[in-house]
Amino acid sequence: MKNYSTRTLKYLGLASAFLLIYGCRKNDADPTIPPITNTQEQITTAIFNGFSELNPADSSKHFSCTWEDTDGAGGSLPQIDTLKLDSGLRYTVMLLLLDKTKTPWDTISHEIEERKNTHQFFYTPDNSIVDKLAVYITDFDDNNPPLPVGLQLTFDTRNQAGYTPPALGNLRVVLSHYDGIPKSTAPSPDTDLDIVFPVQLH
Amino acid sequence: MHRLLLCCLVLPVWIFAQNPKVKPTFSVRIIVTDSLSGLPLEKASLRLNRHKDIHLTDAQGVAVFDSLTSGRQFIQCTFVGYHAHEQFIRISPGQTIIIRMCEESLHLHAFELTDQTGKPMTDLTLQNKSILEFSRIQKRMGQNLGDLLKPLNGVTLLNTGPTLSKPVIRGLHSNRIIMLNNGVKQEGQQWGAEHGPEIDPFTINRLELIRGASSVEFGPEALGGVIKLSSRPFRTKAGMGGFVTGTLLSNNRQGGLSALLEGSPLKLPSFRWNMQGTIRKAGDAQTPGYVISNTGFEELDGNAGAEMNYRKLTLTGRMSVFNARLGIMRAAHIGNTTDLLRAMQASQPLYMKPFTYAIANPYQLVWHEVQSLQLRYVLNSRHALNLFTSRQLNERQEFDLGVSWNTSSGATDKPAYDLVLKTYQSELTWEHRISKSWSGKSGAGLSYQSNVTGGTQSPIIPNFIAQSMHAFLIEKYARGRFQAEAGIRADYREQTAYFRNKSNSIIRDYRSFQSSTLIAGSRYQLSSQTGIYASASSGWRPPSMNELYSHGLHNGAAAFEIGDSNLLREKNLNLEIGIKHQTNKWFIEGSFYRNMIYDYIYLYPSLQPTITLRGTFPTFQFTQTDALLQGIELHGAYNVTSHLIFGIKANYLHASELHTREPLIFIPANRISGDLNYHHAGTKVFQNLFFETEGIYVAHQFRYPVGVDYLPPPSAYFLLNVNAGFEIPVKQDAISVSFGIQNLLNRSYRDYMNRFRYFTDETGINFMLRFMIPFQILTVKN
Repeated sequence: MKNYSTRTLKYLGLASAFLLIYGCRKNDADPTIPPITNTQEQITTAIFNGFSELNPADSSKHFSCTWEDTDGAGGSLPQIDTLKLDSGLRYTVMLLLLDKTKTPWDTISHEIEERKNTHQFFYTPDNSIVDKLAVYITDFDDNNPPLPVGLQLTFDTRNQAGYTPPALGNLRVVLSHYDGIPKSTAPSPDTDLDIVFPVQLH
Repeated sequence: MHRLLLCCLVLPVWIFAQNPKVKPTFSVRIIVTDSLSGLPLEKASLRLNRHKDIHLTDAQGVAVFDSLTSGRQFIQCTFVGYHAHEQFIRISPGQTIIIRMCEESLHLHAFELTDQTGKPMTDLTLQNKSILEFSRIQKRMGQNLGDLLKPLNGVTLLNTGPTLSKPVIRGLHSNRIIMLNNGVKQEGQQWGAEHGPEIDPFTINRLELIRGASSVEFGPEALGGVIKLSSRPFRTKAGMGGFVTGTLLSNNRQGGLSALLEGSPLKLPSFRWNMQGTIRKAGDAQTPGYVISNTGFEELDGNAGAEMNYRKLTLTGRMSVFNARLGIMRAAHIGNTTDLLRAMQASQPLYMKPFTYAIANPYQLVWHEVQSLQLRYVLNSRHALNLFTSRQLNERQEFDLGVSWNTSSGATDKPAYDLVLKTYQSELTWEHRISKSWSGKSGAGLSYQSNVTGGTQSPIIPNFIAQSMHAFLIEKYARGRFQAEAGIRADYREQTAYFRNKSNSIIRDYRSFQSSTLIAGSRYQLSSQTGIYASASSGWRPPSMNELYSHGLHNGAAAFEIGDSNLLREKNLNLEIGIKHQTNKWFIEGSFYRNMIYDYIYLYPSLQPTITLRGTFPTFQFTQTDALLQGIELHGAYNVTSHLIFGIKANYLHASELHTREPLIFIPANRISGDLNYHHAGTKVFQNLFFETEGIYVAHQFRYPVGVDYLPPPSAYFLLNVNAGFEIPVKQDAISVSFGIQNLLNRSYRDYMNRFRYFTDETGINFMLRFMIPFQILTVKN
């Protein structure tokens, strides 16, 4: 009882010193100088590169087609090329994904290739060209049985029945990733990329 | 009136002993009496700071202290049911001191200035208010702070998943209401719907809801109302003690434990202190059918306070830390509108795991600390001055899922958003009573706020510095059955936002706002049972930082939001009338309000969607219109027997755009609830038994703007909750235990005001156990 007050004060002092140290976080950043955001990796650019299987050396049948939005969501409008293909051909196509906000550019498609077991691209031509442009995925992952990935493709425009070129339409490209659910041939609930290329068939 | 005044004046009477014998020891006789009747009080406890023992008065109300040395003494007298009496006195040998004690039920505390009606003068506003005391709070403790607020008529919740919630008063929330915690206006990033209040629910001892605009007293942003929270008053009895309180919840297997230690040293009776620590941990919440993955949370809070009296001065200091990690439902984190449509079409969330306590990305890390200091100087029974200063630091870090193709880069360990908000507030107020009928409060204050952003994503709100000042005056007139009040306040705020443009150079944007607000109200007691009141008040708020500057994708909402830096301040006019009728059997209260908000800020859908590499997003722009929110609140109770009370609450809210009469979006649905309360004094061991059952019907919100939201509001639902408990007396304290079941029928339902209603049902049945065990470490006996 006698030491009660001193004891109390001692504990109280200790506890409040602890609270003061724990409770007062140091944070002295200057609000007038906003930080330069070093954003996390993002896809800014998707490029299709392809050539005709019939004659790979024929540079007139080479194409490169870009969908690009380097300033992120919002801001200026994205730059979208039209995918121009000749009908009656089979094209070997590669999809390249880049992050142009990084220096040097980051090649996201390489990282997806590394994680192909949990990623898949889906290519959907719209109704106006669905019977004129067939897209086949030619690369597969390490799952058993192997499932398609979609970085390497074949565009097949040989079915010319029922129309005379040119034909116009759209090709939708979706990248799904499978987090916590097994990869399947159906799109996942998590979309990393969802873009549409206008298509012209000559 | 005079007697009341006298009694509260703490008046010692000096009487010389009738036969002053010369004694070898120095002694003093103290007589303790009731202030009004003059009858002696037996077993009142008396302490002198220079004397080691506590004395109790005898049947004549007399206690004698001997072996004293002459000089100044601090005298403290306590008696059950009476206000503690404290005073500095100068004692001379053989003196007799009479202390007149004021009974609690009859008078207010001596240190509180009271008006003619006996109400504390600080309690000025005549507006509609509800109060929850500690005993009720104890019985309501549940998932979070929201569970304490929900039973108040007119309050609903805005939820983000099962555990994150914030209050909505009469359809308004976030920056349109104010939360005061121990006098400090809570400053977090409250503009965000998914940013819940950073307050430890175990510290709340008293909760007060003031509905309607209260900008005159509490400043801008009080358009919808004010929620005042206060923690436990300091211990006045000498000794040391405290309590341990806890909750266990079955649904998310939540455990919460809080311990409070408080004391007042024997040698220093004018000093009181307390400290409290809280730990809470919860896993995933569950609907009747499935687990809502990644909705666990953990929380570690602490606070300490101390109060010191010296003559007419009281110095109070408090500090607190809130620290929480809150999981955000994984399935609600969606990439684009296709994902959203897919998630909405699914009957259950597309990402589900077995129950776990583990919290994965996405999650929030919230830190909130408050330090406050109050200096109160009571000049006399008519005037008191208060100087109140506080500092708050709020850090909110939000962790995203990161990119799916590079999980090793550590992107998920770094916050996507990191916001540090510092707030300094200071105010000087003067409470005064000019005459018997007139009382009032006036004051002036300053505040400073700074916000620093960081994180791996471009910030939603910019860095900013804001400064404001204000002055106000409220006067209240009370005479007989009539009371009236009027107040005026002027505010000036200036703020500068700092952000970077595309080429990384710094842009400054300066804005200033000024506004004056007014309040007028009156109350008239028609009879001893019935009173009516009416009030008109105005309020305002500056546009919040996200409304001015946000520009980006709103995570989880699959919407692109664009701010407008030219928005004007919102201003409102709130009219309210009400009636209160109370007899031994009945209690009826009804009110009607009409809240017009001019330049109401809201998100307007833009015709031009935003095209990104993740897909096309609907785009919304912050814009202004005039809005009208009007409604009726009813509360009735009937004492069926002395043990059984039947209660009913209903509220109806109609919110629309003032000119087009189009409904406003995200307005809580109308609801009605009925409850049956059974109370019994109990046996010797189990006391204060109670059993409550409550049914709540929430209607379908049929008033909503068509074609703006992804899904129409969900259908109506009915919930049944029960609650029962008892107390076990232990010495002068009592252990209390209560048991509750929420959603007893285990209904699957969705609520319109849950932002994750697109993805998941609400939580299912929840069994709750609450307990509180008080303890005394050191008590002083005579």
